[in-house]
Amino acid sequence: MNFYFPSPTLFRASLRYMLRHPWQLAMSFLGIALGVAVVVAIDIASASADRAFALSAEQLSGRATHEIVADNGLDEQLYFALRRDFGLRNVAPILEGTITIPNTNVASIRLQVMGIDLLADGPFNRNTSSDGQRIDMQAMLTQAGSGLLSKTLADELAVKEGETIGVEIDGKATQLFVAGLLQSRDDASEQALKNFLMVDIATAQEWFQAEGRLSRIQLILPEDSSTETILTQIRALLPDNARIETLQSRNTALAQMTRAFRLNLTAMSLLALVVGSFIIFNAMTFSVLRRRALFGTLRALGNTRSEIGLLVLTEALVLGFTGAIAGWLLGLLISKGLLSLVTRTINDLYFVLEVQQLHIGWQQFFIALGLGIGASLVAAFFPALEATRTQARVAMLRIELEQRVKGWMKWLAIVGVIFMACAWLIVELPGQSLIIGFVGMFVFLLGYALLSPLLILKLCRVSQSSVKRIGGFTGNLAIRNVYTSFSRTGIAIIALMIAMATAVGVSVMISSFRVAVDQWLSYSLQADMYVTTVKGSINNKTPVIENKLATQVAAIQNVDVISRGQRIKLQQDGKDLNLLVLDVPERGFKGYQYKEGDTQSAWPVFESGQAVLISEPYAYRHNIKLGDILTLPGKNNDISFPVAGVYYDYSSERGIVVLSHKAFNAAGYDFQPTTLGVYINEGKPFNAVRTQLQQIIGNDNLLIRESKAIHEASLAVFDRTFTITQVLRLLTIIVAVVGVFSALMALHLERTKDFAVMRATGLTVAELRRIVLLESGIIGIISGVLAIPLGLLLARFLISEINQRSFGWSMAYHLDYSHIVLALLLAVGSALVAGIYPARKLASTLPAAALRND
Amino acid sequence: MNKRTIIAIGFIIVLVSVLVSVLIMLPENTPKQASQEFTLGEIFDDDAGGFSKATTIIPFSFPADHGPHPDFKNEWWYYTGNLKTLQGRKFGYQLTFFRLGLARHTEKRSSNWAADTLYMAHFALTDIQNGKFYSFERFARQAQDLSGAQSQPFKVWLEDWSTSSENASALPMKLFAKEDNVSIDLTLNYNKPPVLQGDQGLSQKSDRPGNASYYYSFPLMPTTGHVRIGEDAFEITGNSWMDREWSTSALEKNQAGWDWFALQLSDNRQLMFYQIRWDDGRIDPISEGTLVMANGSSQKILLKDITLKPLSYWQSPITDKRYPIKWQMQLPSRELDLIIEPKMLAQEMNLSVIYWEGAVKVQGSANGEAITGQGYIELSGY
Repeated sequence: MNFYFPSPTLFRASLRYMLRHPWQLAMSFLGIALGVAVVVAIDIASASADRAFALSAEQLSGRATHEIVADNGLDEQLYFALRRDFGLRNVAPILEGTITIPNTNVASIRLQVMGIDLLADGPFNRNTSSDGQRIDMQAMLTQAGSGLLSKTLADELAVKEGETIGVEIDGKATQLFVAGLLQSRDDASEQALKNFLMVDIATAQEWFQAEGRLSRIQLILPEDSSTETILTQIRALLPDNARIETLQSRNTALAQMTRAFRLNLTAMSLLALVVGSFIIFNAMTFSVLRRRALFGTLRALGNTRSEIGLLVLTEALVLGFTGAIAGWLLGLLISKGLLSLVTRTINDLYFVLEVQQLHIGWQQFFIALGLGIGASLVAAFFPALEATRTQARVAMLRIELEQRVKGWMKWLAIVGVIFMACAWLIVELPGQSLIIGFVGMFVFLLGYALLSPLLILKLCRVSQSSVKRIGGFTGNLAIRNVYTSFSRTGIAIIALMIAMATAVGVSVMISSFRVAVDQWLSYSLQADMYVTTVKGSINNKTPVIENKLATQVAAIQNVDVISRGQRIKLQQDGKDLNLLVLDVPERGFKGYQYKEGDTQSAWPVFESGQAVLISEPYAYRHNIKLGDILTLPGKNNDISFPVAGVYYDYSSERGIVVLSHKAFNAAGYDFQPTTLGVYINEGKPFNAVRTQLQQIIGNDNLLIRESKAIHEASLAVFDRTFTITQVLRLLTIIVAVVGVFSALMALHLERTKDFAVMRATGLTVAELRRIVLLESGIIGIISGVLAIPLGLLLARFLISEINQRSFGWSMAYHLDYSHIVLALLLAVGSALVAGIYPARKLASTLPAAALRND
Repeated sequence: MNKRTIIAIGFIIVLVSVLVSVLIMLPENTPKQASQEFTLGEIFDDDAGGFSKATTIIPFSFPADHGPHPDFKNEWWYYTGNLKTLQGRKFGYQLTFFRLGLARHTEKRSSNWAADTLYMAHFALTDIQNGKFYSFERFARQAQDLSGAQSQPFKVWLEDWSTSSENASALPMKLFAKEDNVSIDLTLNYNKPPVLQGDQGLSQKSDRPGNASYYYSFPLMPTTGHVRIGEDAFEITGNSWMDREWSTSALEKNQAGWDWFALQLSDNRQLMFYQIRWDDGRIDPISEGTLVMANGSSQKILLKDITLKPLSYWQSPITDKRYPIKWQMQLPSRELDLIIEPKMLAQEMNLSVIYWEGAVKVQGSANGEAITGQGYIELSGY
């Protein structure tokens, strides 16, 4: 075969065609742009959050290399021991907390407070230079409530150095004196500083009622052969609950926490791109197929196959390129909105992070180009092949094409089934890789998409008679139109189907998750009330519930039993191990719902301290089953316990080990409970107990929370967390609707001549309009119907593979029929909306004019 | 051109303009410069804020006055000295504790970190043979036992740097400072009683009443002890000079800095002189000094009694500051003519306050006879 590059004449023919069909051009362009935009937006939002985190970690740790941390804070004497007695120079005390600046113009601002000793902080180079003016050192040290704000925030709040503003700490109002402004080397770091307030350690201790306590101690240790020796010496000084770790490992651990979340977002955005690709595919195929006659003529005039093929690919390249650029720009705009949602989720689930600045790098630009061009080229490949295969003479006949497409369907279906089988095999591979999970999901999706043409055809055939019965001859015409012109409608149907299936899948997953969390909250919050420490001081104090207090509470009238709990983090093999230590009555223990094991057999061994429970994520991450032996780091020696049960838990991705206080004591630790659960006798009123409870605990930094309130608050956080997922789902649907709209528009407009013929042969305007709308409706229904099984399968995938792999937890499949109805309505609705304009336009076209024009 | 073509072209135009506007809106990342350097005037702020001022002559009482004077805002214990080993290897050292009162009568606070006073300390060691100069700085608040001062028993400390005495008389004094691998561990005795500087200990720093300090010195303190650098420990002897000042004063706006000389001459006389420079380069007529005689008596020296002439300059390669490093000092009325030059050039204290303070040697004549000497000079405000 000779290989010629297409001549300029060919390109002119192509350009003329595009300009004569601007709607089609605009729609395929929009398809690419939207698909790319969603991916870019997610990537930017996610990268910005990531970078903001890295920057703030860098800003605040400065040159620190190590950090001493403990679960409930450190005694400040440890710092003096290190600095004065041990003689470490580069060591800095830190006490953290959060405050709120209420009623600013937009909303309350939460600030992370970092209490430091400015005088010891020099070597840490925390980027805290003051803006031009000096820090009012006198105020910082001598005046309670003095602090340093970032200049950006001060400008936003319109406060200046030397002014005082009202703030809230744990709901109590107090004053902040702005003793100076912080400014960073560059804008990005400045943004990272924005949600921090630097105060003297004395102020921090007073604000958070943590006198004598520290959150962390940071150190700069030399990186040489002496490090290990120094570390060993430091470790010998540390109390039981404290540990020293490198800052790098701490920051990596924090970044790891959000990894699963961000990967999920990326997957969602790729789903949108899949839908977008189908739209591109649709647009490209359509523009080629429509020109079969033109290509036939061109071939007849002597143009080669390769010329035609290259022409189509070049068109795809140009379209892909411009679409990608537009998509990138659109993505920039969307990312701003998504960023706040991403940040909010991270804040709710992981740590305080304020991200104001988008981190826009070349990365996303190249992603956009790659996706846009790649998707259009892939989408154009088959149409290009098709264009080259066409025999000059035959090309002019459309019926031949439709026949050929139908011939392919069987093969596509077979490939589709193979794909789906592969997907199943992929996820059955051993391992817990999240990426493998996503690959499986996408392969499955593709398989289903390949299978669907055959399904659509069958569906049309099966329903033809009933449509005919209901819709009369217009109905008959409409449904026949759908499948006889399948080469034009098929891909639009599939695109819409995938979008709807995604919507169904994600909705079912979220609602299953929500139901599971809801149930889990109800059974895990067994007590009626909990006495906990005041939020904010939890980091800095050891708020032990004294035995005396527990006895007093237990003696309150109508209190049935009480439970006490302590959460503690130990180190095992260099990793954090979350323990929940309980002194719990049987009534409270019954709250655990088991994946493996049961209450009857677990209770006696748990209660006597002979066995432990593990949460499902722990079992999943460590591959431990019921009856296995678990070794825990005791204070002096490792100590082993059999696992008496694996229970459902959604509170920790890393997993929790639950043991009784007896087992904890046996491991050599002191049980220092920090929460107290109060169980009231059945049917007795809460209020009297609550009043007495309040009297007993006084204002001792303890807080009474009712289970109901905790339950509601937790669900509110859950809903906020999934807003981003809902938004992405919506974006995917928008992409699909645009796709369907463009496909149908093109389809109907192309058939102007057919319709004119129908009009000329006696069809009324109303009948024609009905045919167009019916066709659209049928396309919608088919998409919706096909989307339901796919959606449910996707939901299963998301629940049992993606969620399991990301978080290690499983949940029951909860099907809410409203999701299915909604998906159907949406599919039909969007198809109908897409049909309205062509229907109106066609009906108003004069047949004679239409016949003449074409 | 038909209508649809126009729509399509319009669409593209809109996209291009969006592209352009977004590119324009993208933020620039311009690095900002921020520098942080204090001047002595800023550290020793003269905002009285409840502090007393040195306005009248008061009788000094020792050892009580070796201890802190919290009614005054600023105070220092200033030790400098020239040391050598038996083999003649020479060192110079400076160890200074600055007390900075931040506020008086602050309210009681619940955190033990709360403080109304902070300490700054400077420690420098000049290793003349190796041409090495070590300088360190520390800050700490007077809280949590991090820093403080007391007269009975005498002790001033900032973490493990300290000056102290086991005796009720506060003499001899022990100095200890260690940072990285450099340390001094010295015992300072005294050969001469404290010298009251200025007018019976009231040293005027400007015309303004109250802008003065209480100032006394131990001009000659025979010193023994150890200097350590890395693995090497040196047993040394030598002579130190101690300056004590407390005040609630600062430089006036037009005062740019000072040059301070503390010289120990071979004829057992000691000379202290400081000149305060104005912005315009002129010398403040208030500048003064004291000549301590061999028998311990002292004579006041006024600016008109002295000619001080810089002979050469040294520019710091690190800070680019240019210091007059070699001086001619003439006191015609006492028939003293001295050339003062540094034992080593690079003795710049590049800390949060930048100044030159270093060991110097003296050569010249007294009453026509050759004389030598050594000491320390401090050049600030350059």
